[in-house]
Amino acid sequence: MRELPEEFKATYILAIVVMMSFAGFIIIIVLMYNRKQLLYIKEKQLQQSEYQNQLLQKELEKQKSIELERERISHDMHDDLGAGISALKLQAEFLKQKAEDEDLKTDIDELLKTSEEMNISMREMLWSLNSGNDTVGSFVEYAKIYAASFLKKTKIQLILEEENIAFETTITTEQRRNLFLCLKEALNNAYKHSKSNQLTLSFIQKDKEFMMKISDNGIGINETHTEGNGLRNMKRRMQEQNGHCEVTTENGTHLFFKINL
Amino acid sequence: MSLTKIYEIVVFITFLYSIYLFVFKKKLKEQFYLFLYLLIVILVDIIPVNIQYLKKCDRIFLFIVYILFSILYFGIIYHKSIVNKSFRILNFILLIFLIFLNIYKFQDQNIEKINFIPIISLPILFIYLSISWYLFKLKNVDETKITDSFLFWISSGILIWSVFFIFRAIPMYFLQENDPRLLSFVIAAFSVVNIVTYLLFLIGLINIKNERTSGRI
Repeated sequence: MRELPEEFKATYILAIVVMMSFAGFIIIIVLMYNRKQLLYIKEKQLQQSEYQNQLLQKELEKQKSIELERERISHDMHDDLGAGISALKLQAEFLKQKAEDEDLKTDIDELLKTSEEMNISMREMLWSLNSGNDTVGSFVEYAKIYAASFLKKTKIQLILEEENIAFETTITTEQRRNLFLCLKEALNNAYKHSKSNQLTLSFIQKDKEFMMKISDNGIGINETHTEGNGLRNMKRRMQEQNGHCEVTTENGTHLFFKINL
Repeated sequence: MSLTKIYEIVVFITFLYSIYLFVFKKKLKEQFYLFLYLLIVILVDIIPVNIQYLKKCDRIFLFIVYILFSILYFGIIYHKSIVNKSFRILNFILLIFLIFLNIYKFQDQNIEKINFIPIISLPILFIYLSISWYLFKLKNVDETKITDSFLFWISSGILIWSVFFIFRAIPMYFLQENDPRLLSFVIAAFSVVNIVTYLLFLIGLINIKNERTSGRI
């Protein structure tokens, strides 16, 4: 039996070693793939964020056009409807001066009262429509003015409280409008049913949470009395805004509204 | 236990696992009908060696059958998996060429020795297919890990197998005459490579069972 020279064997083994580099090739492929995959995933994430940006941009443009339309309506209302109501009031005043019949004067007074109410309603609508009022500070100021004006002619004493209010914090038009309508309803209920002589209106802000508390020292709500439309509407309004409405009746009625800004 | 026996056990386990995936998990296309290939390996390479009265059967003929089946099987699965026109054209041409060459060479086959063509044709095809698949994967990166792909394990297996097969088969008759000791060493080394190859196939099948590679290439 013959045996091959050592050089042949060494070459043979070396060739096998060289060929083993194919195994290394597979590892390199895996590493390259992983690297490319990382780039691919990052690129995809970038594309996704770009797409989201585009969507956001579109939404922003849409919001802007809605805002512009709201401003146009508010200007039209102020210039046209406001001027009309003022003219109506003025003409009614003239008529009142000329009128001699007492019944007619009473009717004209009613007309003037209705005109004033329309004027107030229009101002509220204008306040709601104006996007410049979309701040917590604006809402708090307007709510305070409204509450003071509403309770001015009643026996109820108004106490106003504020805690950590960041005036420039943004609040959406819908949130602002719904909170204001809740406040209106609560004040109306207090005036009509509570028999109280004191009402405390508090505004509290904790980071992104805004709370409004309306407490009176009246008779509270009778437990046997089922929840009326007013309370139900307030709760619904808060739910629609992902907020929360709570009613307690210990030493008066306490209404608590909370929304996330 | 000899290396050959370990190799036979590994092939058998891989085959049984493939059948299990087919029968109980209904994973047929996902494993590219691998049990068919494994069945041929068992019929050609394991049964004739172990059963006494089959030992006299024409091993060269069986080897050619195995070569032709492997060319067709791997050629088709990679043809379906690699979505690239130029690869598919080249693959088709290579398959046809190798099949005809093997059949042609088989007709004037030496009874004692296997011709050089069938020996070299399978590694050439395997290297071409596996490297094409790697390049295709590198060009078509997605969010799945490359190691989750069934064909990654198949490609790695056949690439390693091909390289060693060249050194096992080409100088086989030369070493038989000149240095039988080295030949027996090479045969033992090739058995280890065979075991590694079928273990890689098994890993690929296990990945399919985990359903991470379903429908992926």
